[in-house]
Amino acid sequence: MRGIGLIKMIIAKDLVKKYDTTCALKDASFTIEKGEWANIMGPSGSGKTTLLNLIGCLDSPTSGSLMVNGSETSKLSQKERTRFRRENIGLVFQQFHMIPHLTALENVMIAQYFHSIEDEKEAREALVHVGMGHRLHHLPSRLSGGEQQRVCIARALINQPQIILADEPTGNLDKKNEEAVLDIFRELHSEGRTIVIVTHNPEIGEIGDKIIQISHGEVNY
Amino acid sequence: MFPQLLLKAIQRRKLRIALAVLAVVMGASIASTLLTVSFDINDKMGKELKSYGANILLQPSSEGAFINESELYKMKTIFWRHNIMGYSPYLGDTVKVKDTEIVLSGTYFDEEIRIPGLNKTFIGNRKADEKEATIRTGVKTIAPWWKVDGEWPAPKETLVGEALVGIIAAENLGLKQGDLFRAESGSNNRTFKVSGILSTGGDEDGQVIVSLKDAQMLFEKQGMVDRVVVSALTKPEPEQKIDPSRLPPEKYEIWYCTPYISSIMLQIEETVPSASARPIRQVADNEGKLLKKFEWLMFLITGIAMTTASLGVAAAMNTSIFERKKEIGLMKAIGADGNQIAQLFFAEAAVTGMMGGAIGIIIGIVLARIVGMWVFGAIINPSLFSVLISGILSLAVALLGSMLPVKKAVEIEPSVILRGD
Ligand SMILES: Nc1ncnc2c1ncn2[C@@H]1O[C@H](COP(=O)(O)OP(=O)(O)OP(=O)(O)O)[C@@H](O)[C@H]1O
Ligand SMILES: [Mg+2]
Repeated sequence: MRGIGLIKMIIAKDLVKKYDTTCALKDASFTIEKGEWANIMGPSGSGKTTLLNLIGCLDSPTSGSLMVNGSETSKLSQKERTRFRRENIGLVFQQFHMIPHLTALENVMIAQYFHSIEDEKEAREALVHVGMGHRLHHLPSRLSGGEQQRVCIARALINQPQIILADEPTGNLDKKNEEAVLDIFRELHSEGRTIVIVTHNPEIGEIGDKIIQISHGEVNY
Repeated sequence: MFPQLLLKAIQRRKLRIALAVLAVVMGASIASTLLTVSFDINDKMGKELKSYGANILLQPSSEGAFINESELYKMKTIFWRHNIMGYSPYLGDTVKVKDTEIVLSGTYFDEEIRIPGLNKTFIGNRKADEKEATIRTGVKTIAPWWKVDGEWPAPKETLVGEALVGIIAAENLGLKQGDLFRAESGSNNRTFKVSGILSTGGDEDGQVIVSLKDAQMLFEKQGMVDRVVVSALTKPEPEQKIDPSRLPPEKYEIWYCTPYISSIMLQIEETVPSASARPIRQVADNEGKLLKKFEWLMFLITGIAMTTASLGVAAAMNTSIFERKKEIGLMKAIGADGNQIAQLFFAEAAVTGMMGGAIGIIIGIVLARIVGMWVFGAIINPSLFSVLISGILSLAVALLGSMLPVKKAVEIEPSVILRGD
């Protein structure tokens, strides 16, 4: 009975996020199935990052309900959100955030360390998998943008999360690097991971299964 | 991973860490200096104070008379006899040695005294046995700080007496261990062999010290002494002075049966009629009080130094955490929880504390030496205790100073990471 497309991975209902006076998200409701590739699209300042933050449990909503992988996450404390995120979510950012004084390999291993215990072999394999096997001991400052983004993807995947969230993962990359990164996402998609990507890029929009359009904090879905 | 994370974070931010370390170094070096000085001085003074346990001086009860040596044992028969730790009688006068006038004193070095009837055993009400007891007393007990370079005079009776010559007297007289000299008093004279050179830091340094018997023979005052120092364990006198002669009988009884120095002195005077007693502890007591105040001052300054250091650490840590806000947000976004973040920063603080502490302790030991030579004219040695305490203080200061900044770090929201720079 249970298969791709049958289990709801993310169910948002009347999600609201307010920052002081601005209402960044108004009554957003949508669902994303397990194994789906959903793209969040919309103009700048429309609330895309805000929404991704909520799904990734980096922040909690002002009101509304949000089920992720079977758990209600809207009322979790910061500590509980951290635990939940550690187990379920892999994050990729636009500005390939790496810890500057750690090498590529160490940047992956640190995620293992925070999650449970580090496993150098596994971290190495993850980097080889994203085509970074030749740059294991480079510091971020000596990696190109595309290379850094691939390290970040390896890091996001290392703890086997069900859900991969990416905020404009190719926004700062050239065409060639963008393709390399998208190939990795395609592979993850084919493995059955749930992928949510914030993007301006219509080409990416076409790859996905679903588009969540957002403008002025309102979701058209 | 944790050690790498810690070490690389420190390596990359050497200057920042150095500032925090410096704050700890300042505090730790002050604390270490003061604690080292304080403990060592306390130790030295404490030893002296203890040895100045000679706290009662007996003098002849009338002008020009002497105390009977044979009565002295009776001090060990008073109510508080067990509180009489020892005594040492003196008989001194000037003598001529090599045509130089010098004070020669006779005393007990380590004399065995018989005390008849001290150990009474009773069967029912009947005195069954009256045993004789002995005690050993003399300057070796009463003045353990006397330092003899050579041998103490032997107790045996010989034709030639043995003497300790004070270090200054030895210099003046040109005497050294093993030399013979003749001491003249009036028409009497006696030859002594220098068994050792004495240094006490007191008057004795300029004197010749012989056995009481030799002095009595030389001065023709058999059985007589001109002063006795007594070491008695006493209880501090109450705040308001007690005049025993005005106390009602019950209160007098209580006073008499309390080991106040005044009641012990009275009991001594009762049993040794040829002597009158007076306390000689005051000086030492004041020194003790001064020492206590000095100690408090030390602790106060140490406390201020450590508080300042901890504020320094807090400031350095705060800047550091502010600068690393994004990094902390990132670590949280990829799964670090509050405890892991706290661990990381507290570990950094601990390293800071230990480095600062180690440097500070070394500086402190050197400074303590300088201060010791300069203020007290004594070499001050570090004690394990002061090193340990300074170390613990440094660590505590670094950790305490980091408390609030780390709390802030723990509260950083991971969502900062997704916002633009
Ligand atoms: N921490 C915050 N405090 C106050 N307002 C905020 C905060 N974060 C976002 N906002 C506001 O919420 C709205 C949505 O911001 P959000 O970052 O989600 O937009 P976005 O769609 O990701 O834009 P972009 O495409 O430029 O990244 C904006 O008006 C923004 O100014
Ligand atoms: Mg955004």
